[in-house]
Amino acid sequence: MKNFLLKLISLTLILSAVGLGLWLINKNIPAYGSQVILLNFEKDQPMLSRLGPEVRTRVQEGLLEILESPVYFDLRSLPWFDQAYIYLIYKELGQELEGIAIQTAPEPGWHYYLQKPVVVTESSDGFKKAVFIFDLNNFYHQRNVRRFLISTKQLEEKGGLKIQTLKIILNR
Amino acid sequence: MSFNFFKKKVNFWQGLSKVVFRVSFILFLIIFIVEYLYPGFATNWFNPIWFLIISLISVIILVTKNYD
Repeated sequence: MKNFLLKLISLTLILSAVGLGLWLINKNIPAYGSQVILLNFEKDQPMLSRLGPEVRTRVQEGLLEILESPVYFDLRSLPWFDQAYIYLIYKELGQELEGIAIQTAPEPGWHYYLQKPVVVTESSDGFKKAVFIFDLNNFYHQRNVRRFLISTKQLEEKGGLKIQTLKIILNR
Repeated sequence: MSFNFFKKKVNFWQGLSKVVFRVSFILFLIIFIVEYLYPGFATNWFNPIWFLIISLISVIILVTKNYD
């Protein structure tokens, strides 16, 4: 009886391990070819870090306000994802969005390649949506981690740029 | 009779810890190799160090002698 129970438990564990492997493959190599990552303003995620340094940002009423430019974030993506579409929904309150830049060479030194949005649309509530496209394979990465920055231009002395959503879609 | 009963009980737990050790440690090794080749493959979703902790606990149970 106990031997049977042991065999049953070992079979269950092996099947769970195989299931875990299949789940991981399905998560990392999605059949539909893309992976969606949403920025969490409050905490770092394994794939996407918060915007930093913290002194340059402030979370207010569910929106993240950039007080000073630039702010950085790290994206960890697997090598088979070639393209990243970055969707940024924001409101300009004294700061204008210049673009998003990607790190091109290791530190020391400040090596970033600034890209302007491919398209910007404005909604009736004053929020704008900018779309950026990055070819990930052309840029520097350290163990699959790529660093980006959001650059803004100060228009008023005490202005900010409020971010509602930052969504990244990785494509194969 | 009671001695045999206890002995059997210990064997069951040791057998269980053997199975748990084998599965969790092999799983940890596979994930470690995959993670080394493709950083973020597993750690983007969960922390695989738990498999090492489980395998360590089970190997401690496995090697601890029964003094009863």
